[in-house]
Amino acid sequence: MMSSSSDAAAALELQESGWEELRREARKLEGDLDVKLSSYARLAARSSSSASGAASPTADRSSWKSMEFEIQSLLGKLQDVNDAMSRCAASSATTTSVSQKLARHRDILHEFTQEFRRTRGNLSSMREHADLLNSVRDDITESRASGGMSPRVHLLRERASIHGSINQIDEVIGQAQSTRVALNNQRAMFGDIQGKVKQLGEKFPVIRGLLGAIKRKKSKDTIILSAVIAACTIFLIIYWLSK
Amino acid sequence: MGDHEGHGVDFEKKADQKLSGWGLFGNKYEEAADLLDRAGSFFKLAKNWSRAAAVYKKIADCHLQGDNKHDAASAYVEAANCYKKFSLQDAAQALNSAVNLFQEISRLNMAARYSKDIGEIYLQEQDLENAAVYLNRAADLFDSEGQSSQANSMTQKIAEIYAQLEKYQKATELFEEIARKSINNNLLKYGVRGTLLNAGICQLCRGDVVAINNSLERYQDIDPTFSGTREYKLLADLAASTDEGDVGKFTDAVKEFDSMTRLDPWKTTLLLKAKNELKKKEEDEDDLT
Repeated sequence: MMSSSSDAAAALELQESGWEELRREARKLEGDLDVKLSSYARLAARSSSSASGAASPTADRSSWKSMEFEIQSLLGKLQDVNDAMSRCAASSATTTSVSQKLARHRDILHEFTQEFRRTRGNLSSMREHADLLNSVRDDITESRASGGMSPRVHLLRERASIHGSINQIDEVIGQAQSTRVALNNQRAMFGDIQGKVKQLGEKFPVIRGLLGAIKRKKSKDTIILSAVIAACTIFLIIYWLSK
Repeated sequence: MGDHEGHGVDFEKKADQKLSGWGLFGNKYEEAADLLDRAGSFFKLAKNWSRAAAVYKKIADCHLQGDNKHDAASAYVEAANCYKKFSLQDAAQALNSAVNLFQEISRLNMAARYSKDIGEIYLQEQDLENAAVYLNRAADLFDSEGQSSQANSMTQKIAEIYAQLEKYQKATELFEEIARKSINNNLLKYGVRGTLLNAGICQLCRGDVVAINNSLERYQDIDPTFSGTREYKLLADLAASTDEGDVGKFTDAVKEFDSMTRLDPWKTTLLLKAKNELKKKEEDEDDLT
């Protein structure tokens, strides 16, 4: 008994120490990920500002790629640590604080994954945009025409904003169309419901007849029961008098 | 806070006892489902999403045993809501079960809506093949219920996905179909030129110059005002530069259009592919000479 209880205590302590080590490692990885994601976002902002001028795209691209790989490997490690923590928690008796900590770590991993995916999407679309519009001839043309562009640039910007507004209006109109169709369907449905209610009202005579039949049957039962009781009572009185 | 988890576990145990017991009085599946529903609520309050999702799947099984498909489908939807917190794949599978059940009981509107949700989940997960399958299903269901606006927006997304999967012919056909439907609607016809531009870009990615020129003529038939728009000018210039094999002219045309109207990421990606194809062809010709 004593040896088995000490073995159980040792196993429990082992599990607890493993759990604490895993938690420490998870927190460390989360800190690293936070720092790397911040610098990744800063790199994206810098490349966005430098995308207008095509300055040294190759070096920027290689640093993008290496940082992407680093973040992806860190996310993979954090996923593994979370899985190990889940297994550790499942093997021992789960307390509430342990499950809450697990949920917290899982939420953090999910959040980081979403943020990384969003930033990477932004970066890749910016890069594609720059690739599409970049060429040697464009550089020459741009350097030539760099002088008197000021009023035209303002007009182009205004035109772009107007076009953006028009696109948004188109989307809103599409949504309004969809809502209108749904409301029309609802009105048709309510019309059907009204028709059904009228049909139900027409069936009221049948229901009234049914209720009448039930009432008659109930009163018939009452009469039969009363007759039986009266007959028994009279029989008892006659028997008592004859004795 | 700890009470919620404990209460959930208790209700789950009671439900298990009810299920394993004899169903002499009343329907044991209904009663077990009620108990499991309360357990699920407590697990949600405790933020134990995996446990809550498992409980809701149990509820769905109970309702299926009791031959109550609508409640089973609703339970699958609840399970999917819990799965969305930590596992999008499982959420998609649960919604798929719900969609199948809604179709069995002829609730096509609900099936369409949740099929659309599945498609959007796969889009988040960058699984374009599965996203296209489910959005296609949603578009068909919306169309069969007479919701053409919803079906059109689904078709638009499907066409964009096909273009990303390099199925340009199918994407082109879908965009043209959307344009034909929209041109008859007084409110939506002003957006038709954007749709036709998308269709033209897909044709450019196929690299068939004769098909591009035929498409441009067909688009003028669809929308008589298209020939006067900047979208038409862009497509015509790109077709000409593709015919001549001139990358510089291609880039100039795109740059001019982009200076007026900034291209969205989808168009940027496809035009970049077309440009790279053109550049490769040009280099091949140089090698031949």
